Amino acid sequence: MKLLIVDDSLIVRRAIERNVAWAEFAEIRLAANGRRALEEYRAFRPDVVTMDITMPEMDGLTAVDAILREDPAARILIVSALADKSTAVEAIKRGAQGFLLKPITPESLREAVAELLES
Amino acid sequence: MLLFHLPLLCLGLAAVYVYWWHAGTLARRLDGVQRTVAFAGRMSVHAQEMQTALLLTERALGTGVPVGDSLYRLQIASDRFNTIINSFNEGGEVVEPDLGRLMLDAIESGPAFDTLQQLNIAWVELKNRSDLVIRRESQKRLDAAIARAAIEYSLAQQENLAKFATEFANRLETAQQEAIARASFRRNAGLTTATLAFLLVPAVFLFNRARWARDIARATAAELETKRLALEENQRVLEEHQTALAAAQHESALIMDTVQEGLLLIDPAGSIGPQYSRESTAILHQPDLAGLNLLSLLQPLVTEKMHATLLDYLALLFDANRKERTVLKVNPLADIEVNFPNPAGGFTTRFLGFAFRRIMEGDRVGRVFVAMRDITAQVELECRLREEEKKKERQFEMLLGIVHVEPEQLDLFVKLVGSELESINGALRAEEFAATESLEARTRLRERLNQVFRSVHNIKGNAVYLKLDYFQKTAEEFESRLSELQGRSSLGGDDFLSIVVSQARLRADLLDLQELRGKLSGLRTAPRPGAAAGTDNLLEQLAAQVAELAAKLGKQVEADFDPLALAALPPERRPLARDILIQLVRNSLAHGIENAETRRAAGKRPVARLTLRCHPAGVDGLAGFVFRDDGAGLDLARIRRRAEAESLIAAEAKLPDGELAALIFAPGFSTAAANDGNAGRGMGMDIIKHHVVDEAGGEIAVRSQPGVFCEFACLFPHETPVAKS
Repeated sequence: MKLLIVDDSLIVRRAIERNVAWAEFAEIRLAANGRRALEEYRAFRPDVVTMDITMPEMDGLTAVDAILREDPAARILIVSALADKSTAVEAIKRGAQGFLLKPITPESLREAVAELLES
Repeated sequence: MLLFHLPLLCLGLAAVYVYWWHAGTLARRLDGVQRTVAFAGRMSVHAQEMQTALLLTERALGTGVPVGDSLYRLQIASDRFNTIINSFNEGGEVVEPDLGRLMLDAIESGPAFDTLQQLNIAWVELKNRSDLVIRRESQKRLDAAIARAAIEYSLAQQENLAKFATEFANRLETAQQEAIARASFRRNAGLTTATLAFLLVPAVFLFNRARWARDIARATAAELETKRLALEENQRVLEEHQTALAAAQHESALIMDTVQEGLLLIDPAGSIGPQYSRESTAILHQPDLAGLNLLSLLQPLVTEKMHATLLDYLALLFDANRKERTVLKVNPLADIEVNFPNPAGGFTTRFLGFAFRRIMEGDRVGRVFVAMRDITAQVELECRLREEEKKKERQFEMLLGIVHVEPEQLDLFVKLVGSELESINGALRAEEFAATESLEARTRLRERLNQVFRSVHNIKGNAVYLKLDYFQKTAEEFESRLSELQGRSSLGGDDFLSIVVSQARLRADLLDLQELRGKLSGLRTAPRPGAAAGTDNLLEQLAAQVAELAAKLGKQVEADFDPLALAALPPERRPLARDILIQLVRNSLAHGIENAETRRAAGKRPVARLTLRCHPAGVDGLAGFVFRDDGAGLDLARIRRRAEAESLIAAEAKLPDGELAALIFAPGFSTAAANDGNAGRGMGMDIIKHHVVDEAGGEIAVRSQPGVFCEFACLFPHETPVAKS
């Protein structure tokens, strides 16, 4: 199992990385914006992606579109600080399979990632 | 059926055949009998013919005539007789020129047979004699004797032959008649049988038909009875079910009526089903929901963006390819603010909480179950809790801001803010703002505004003095708002709304402070050592404020405050004295005291000096303090310009210096160039006048020498006037 963590904040990337140790991902890669995420996805083909929404260069929703265009089976968990309900609905509408509101807790992250791995 | 009809039919057919066969036989026999009898009768004819031929032969012999012809006649008659009798004996065909051909059956029994035997005996002899005649003639040895013998025999036997032949014919006829009667009986029997058989076929058929119809009728009746019973049973079961259904419906109706939650079902288009809880109608403010579209109902209540989101969300809910858990997690209606229009106008804001569950029909989401609740109370409670929390934080901040202040001073401050808020309240009474058309009303409005400003400014001054940063900030914001209003050319009642808001905030802060003060009083009951009786530490704090302000303004100032400067004041005047002194200090530093360079240029000490001295009671009974700064003194020319600009005096008005100087106590007057937060709001001096002269019934004496000093003497009567409410 491979994981791609996409977030423009290093702190968040590290936090997610630390808190998914239980899932024993064989490899975890990090990307700081949507464009890098897309490149990494092509090269890396992760099983799960955690995706921030507000990022420079290419935002998360655009990246979700781009990734799903290339791999409709991609499993993407949106991890966003945007409490706006419309954003969450929009993300799911675009094909993300999970939505996690920041600030994330180890429990909420674990639950969300586990659910994604099950699917 | 076939079992009966087939044999009957066969029997009938067989009988027809028997009838037909016997009828044929009978016809043939009837024909044969006559001819047979005719043939039998012919034998005696042939016998006579033979006799005749014999007689002719004899005659011919006697006369010498050739016998050929008569013998030929004899031969023919003999052959014919012989053929007939042989045919009767053995069966065979006989031919007679006039009777035609006939096949005769051999007669082998019965009375005719006996007669035939007798006839045979007679015939054989006759034939032998006849044959002998014919044979002799062919041998040419015929003589009359032979012929005579034959004639004799013939004659002798003629009677017998005739008798036997006739009897034979008769007997034969009788036998034939009997046979005909038998055949006729058989024919009739066949006919009867066939008739009966053919009559029986339809009879049996009809009988069977009738029996079958009866059986069918019986079976049908039995079946009908069974069906009726089954129907009755079904009816009973149906009634039971209906009763149970009605009970269940009643119960579900009760539940739907009673449940304190809006429950309903929607289809993929968002249409509400016919069953929904009564609470739904209350929550959605719609008396009848069946068939209405939930999203259309919500559309006017939510923002356009939210409505678009709801449309998307509905599509997600009904998209079976999306995981329900994921979709439910991003429910945009978990708590949503909606605004119901009031019939009387305006809106009622409610908070609604929606929960959804899919109802699967096979592989597709057939409908979605919607549970909704009015969570306004809950949201408001959360809001209150949050506010409470914020207030706690504020109080904590405030607490940190007041721990350095003496409780007594805090009490004084609380009292001051309280009374100033009262004053502000009085100034903001609604009716005063009702009509703002007239110039007079507008002037009154401006006066009110000035009054509010004085109060707020006073609060600010005290807050700065006590280093109550929190209050200072609130008061400064309030002041800014007021300044902005003062700067407007025209004022309306609505402009005062923001003042009311600021005032409310100030009041909330005051309540917090009072609460904190109450809590603190338990902690700090003992007076702090070093708090000088009579002066508190007012003068120390005042001196500290001077130093602070001087540093801020970049001026060098020293405070020369007589420790007993306030000794002449009645104790109840101390809070007021403090307010006044705060204001005077601020004014001096802002307006009076020059900066060091100016002072140096004017030949003065660069460090300015503020002095505070006691003013003991004189003959007029007034006592108080004298505050003096060695600054620039009152700039009368500037005061005039300012007063003219503010329309406080007419341009070029002739005023004595004293009256000109008194203008500094006018509301809204300020000589500072800009509002800098330290002075220049222009309200400092009128507050002092308000408190000393108007409230306390005292006096203010101002002395000034331009460029040298300015002095304020605040004097109070010894007797305290009746406290204002």
